[in-house]
Amino acid sequence: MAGFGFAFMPPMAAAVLFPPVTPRRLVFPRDHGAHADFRSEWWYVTGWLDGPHWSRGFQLTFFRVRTGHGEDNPSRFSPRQLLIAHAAIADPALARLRHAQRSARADGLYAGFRELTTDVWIGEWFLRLAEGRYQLAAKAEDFALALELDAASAPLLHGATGFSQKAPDARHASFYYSRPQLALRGLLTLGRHREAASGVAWVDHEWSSELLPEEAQGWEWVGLNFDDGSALMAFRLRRANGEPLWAGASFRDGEGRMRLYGPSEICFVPLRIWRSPRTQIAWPVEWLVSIEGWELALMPLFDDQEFDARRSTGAIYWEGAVRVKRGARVLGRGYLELTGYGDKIRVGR
Amino acid sequence: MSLARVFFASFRRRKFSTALAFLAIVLGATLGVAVHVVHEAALVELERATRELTGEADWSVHGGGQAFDDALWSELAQFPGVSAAAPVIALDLRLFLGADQAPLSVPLLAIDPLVHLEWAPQLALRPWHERLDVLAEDALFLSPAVLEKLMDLGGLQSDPQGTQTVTVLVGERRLALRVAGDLPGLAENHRLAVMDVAAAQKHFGLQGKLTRIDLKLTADADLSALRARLSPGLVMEKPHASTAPAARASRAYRVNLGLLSGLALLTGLFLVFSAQALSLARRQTEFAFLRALGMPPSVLYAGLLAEGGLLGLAGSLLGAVGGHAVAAWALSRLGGDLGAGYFAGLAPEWRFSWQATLLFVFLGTLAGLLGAWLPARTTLRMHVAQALKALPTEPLPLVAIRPQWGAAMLLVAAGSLFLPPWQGLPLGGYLAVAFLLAGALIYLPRVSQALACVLARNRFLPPSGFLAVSRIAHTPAQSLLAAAGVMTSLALASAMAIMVHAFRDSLDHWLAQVLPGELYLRAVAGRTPAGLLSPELQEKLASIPGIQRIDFTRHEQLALFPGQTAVTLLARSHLDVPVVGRTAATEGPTIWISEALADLSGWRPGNVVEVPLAGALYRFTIKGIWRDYARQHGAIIMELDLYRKLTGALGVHEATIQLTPDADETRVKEAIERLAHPGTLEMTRTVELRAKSLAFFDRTFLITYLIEGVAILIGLAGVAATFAAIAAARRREFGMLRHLGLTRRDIGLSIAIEAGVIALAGVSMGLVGGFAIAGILIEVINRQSFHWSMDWAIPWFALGVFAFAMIVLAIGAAIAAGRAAMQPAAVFAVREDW
Repeated sequence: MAGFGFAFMPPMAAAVLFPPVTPRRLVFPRDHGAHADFRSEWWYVTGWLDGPHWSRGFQLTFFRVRTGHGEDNPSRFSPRQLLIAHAAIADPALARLRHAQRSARADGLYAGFRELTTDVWIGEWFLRLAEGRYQLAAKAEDFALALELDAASAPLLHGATGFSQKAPDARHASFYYSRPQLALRGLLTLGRHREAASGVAWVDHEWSSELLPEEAQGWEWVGLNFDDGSALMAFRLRRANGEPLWAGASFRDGEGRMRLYGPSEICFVPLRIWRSPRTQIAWPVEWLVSIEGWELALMPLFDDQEFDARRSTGAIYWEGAVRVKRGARVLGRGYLELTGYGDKIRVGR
Repeated sequence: MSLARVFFASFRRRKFSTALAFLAIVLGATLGVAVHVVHEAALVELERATRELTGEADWSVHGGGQAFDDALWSELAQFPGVSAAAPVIALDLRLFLGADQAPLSVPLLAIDPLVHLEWAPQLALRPWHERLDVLAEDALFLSPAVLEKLMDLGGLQSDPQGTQTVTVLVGERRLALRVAGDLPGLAENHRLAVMDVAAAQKHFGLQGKLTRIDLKLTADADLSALRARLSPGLVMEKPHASTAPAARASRAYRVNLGLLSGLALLTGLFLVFSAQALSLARRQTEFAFLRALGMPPSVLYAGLLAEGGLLGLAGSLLGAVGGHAVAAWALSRLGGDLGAGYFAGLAPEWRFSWQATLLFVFLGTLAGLLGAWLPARTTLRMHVAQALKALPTEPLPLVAIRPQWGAAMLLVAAGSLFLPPWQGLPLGGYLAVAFLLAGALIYLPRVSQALACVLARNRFLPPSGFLAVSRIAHTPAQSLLAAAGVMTSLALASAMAIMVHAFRDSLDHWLAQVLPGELYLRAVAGRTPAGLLSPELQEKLASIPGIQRIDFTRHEQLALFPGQTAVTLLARSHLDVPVVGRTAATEGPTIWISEALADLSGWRPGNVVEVPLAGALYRFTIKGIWRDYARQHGAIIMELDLYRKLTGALGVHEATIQLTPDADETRVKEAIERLAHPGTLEMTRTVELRAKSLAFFDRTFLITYLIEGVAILIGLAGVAATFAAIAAARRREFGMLRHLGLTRRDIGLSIAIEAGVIALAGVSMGLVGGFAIAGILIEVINRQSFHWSMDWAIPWFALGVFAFAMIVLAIGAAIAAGRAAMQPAAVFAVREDW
């Protein structure tokens, strides 16, 4: 599900009608663009960067939120649409994330999004899709990213048509597709040091109005690029007592054959807990994911990949580069996302 | 033998004069320390508040308070080198508390809460219910200090759901806003309201406008390129620079209060001097005896200096304690500007000041030492053998100063009048006052001698009169001592009285001119964008029966000069303002500038100047200079129609209304009130407003009056003590005169005439000096520190009463002391001598 949203609650005063998510076939390139009527939306890019002697993870996410406020205010600062961006570099040498976040109202100049295709920006941070390539850039005090991702393969539509159910009640659902196995090239700057990098990336795009049911405390999500060219997305929603609420997974092999899994077929088992010295939150950073008896171990690049985003989206989450193993064999690499281990996560609701 | 008993024991013998000198030094130090501590606290608070409001911003772009086009924000946010740009609208909110209560004034900061969170965490909003309320249009966030105040005053309304609302006054409308949360990061005493910037634009008629943009820049940002992007009327400065003008503005006021404390210290010095001079004269035999016994002169000298020094030290230490106490009181009751209105909205905290304590303990001790120094030196030069025989010696060599020196002092005084102000302070004026007094002091004995000569030529003078006259002629030092006190206190008191009287008189006339008509009308929301009266209201006002003429005024703040406080622009329907000096023949659009602005900018009538209005530069010819007592930082006046043509802005802040002769004022008022939401408009009769302004004037000068009064009382008591001491020291002389056959009545008459002549000399010199100092105050000191002129007006009656009281007091004190001195049998008094 690649991302999460806002701990922001809906405004009481706002008489805004958000469109419901009902099954339909996604249409591209239109659906690469923004869906401004829906409450929340995100474009999420993760991946592994490889240099001559190193491997590092990266994340760049753009969130769009229709707040329900200022709908009829002609001001350029009207908070109708908010954009928030998170960027992070997972560098094992530092053993914690370098991360940065930006927030802005979408005024169409300094910050904005387009509906025709993926094109979203806040100042000099951007993500856009043009001529079959994603381009992205982000710059913070101690790091900078400028990458190009080759989006040759077709989008992977979750829930077959891109309609991804999140709870027993089909009201809680999103439109959701992924772009796995994207070859990437670009530049990574750490401090004053700039290096060329290549690697494999993953892009998610998801939008919704009513993502989570009230009883959801948080979720585990994983997006894996296997070395053989196949890809797996799996997620599980938890209740406050830790019991699973819903789950889903999509697998696509190197030839493009799809396989979908339902809640009864997916099991997430935590293997090891790491406690954050900053927030005291206990994060299960190693997992055993079994899908229909297929067992995969997730091992983090390093433990401390906690992202404190309380200033922008209001949440603390764990977003980390992981290796996927079966026994001692590394099968591939990807990203793991953990939410709701501190306070309950709230998406658009 | 304990030296302390030789020296300090003498304090006990002259308790009264010692206590007076002590009191004057205590007063001086108290006042000085208090002013210093209060001001230091206010500045610390001002800086802290500014820091809280701007957070880690590197630079601020603003138009001095004038709103500007918010398109600039988009441009700056994307400008190379700008790492973050925060849009801000800052204005003063008036919260409605009920029909019978004055509204609560609270500064409003409208921001983008998400951006501000990143660099000003102390401005973090804490929503009570919904997190997204930080963006809600109807939501207001209040600091704990404001919430507390509102709860005290009953300004919070609750609905059944528990939602709390406040009523904000906007022009002639009332607007209910929800209190959606608080500002937990702010200092306890900081009054602030925060809301979303887009909401503020919508509610306060500021669509497309901002009043400030805070910037964070990268190290390689090109400042000059950034500045070049700013439209006319906008400045870019470091956020803390905004505290500097406020500090500068209050400095003149502070220095004036500081000078009053200096005056009190000077009085103390003089009192120590006169007390010591007379006391040492009386203790001559004693000292001669000690010298004869072998006490080295240096020990004697040191002991005598220590007498004065100890007095000064003790007085100033007590004063420092008192000063801190007074400061604590003043801060809690009057605020950081002692009620003068420079730091509105701040609640500074009292703190101990080492700097002020050390400075004034030093000055107080110095005053004591200096007061003791001259008499001590005279004592040292005594002829031991003669002094043992108690032959009277002149106590002071002061009178030996040649009159040329006096002339030189007066010349220096005249010269320093032409010095330009130093960093905005009228130091030349203060120097002139000091040298003027010094010069007058040197001439004083000659004046009293001259007066005595005139009297001596009078054939009808009784023998006792001749006695008095010849004493004045031959003991100039003693008469100098007495007359100097009279002169100094009268000069300073009358100067102050003349200045304040002239100021008040000019203010009265000025008020009549700037507040014409019978009624004054404005939005309670004040002179901010939130206080604009709509064009519809203006139209409806003009059609109310009973109104003969209505004049509108709009206020605007212009950042004319970087680093300076904004200049006020007044756009008025009619330009009948009080004019100072000549007016120029002009063509095209014209403006009038206030005296303060003329001083600040060097602009003169006839000059063509560029003034930024609504983001564009316009050229105006200066028609003339007008007198403005309301705005110390300068003001421009232009015609309202011209302003509207150039800016397109139609709202106004206030109106003065002239009624038809047969109009019913109450009816007109009611008709006006019906046009607006209840509680939004404020109507005052201009007569009352003028009276209120004068009352405010009196209140601001109250502290000045009080301190002045106390200093004068001490000075007067000192004069009485001096006369009494002189009379007491002449017991032997009186005894001798009685032996020669003079009656007590004769001697009493002689004393009275002598005191009268001396006091007359002091009073006449004091009055002359007072007029001169008043001139310096009016034409130089006020002109330079507050940039306003005033017309002369002299309180003849008060001056007359004061001068007369001085003479009567001096004569009375001398006679009373003379009587006491004549009490013991004349025989004993004479025998003491031989």
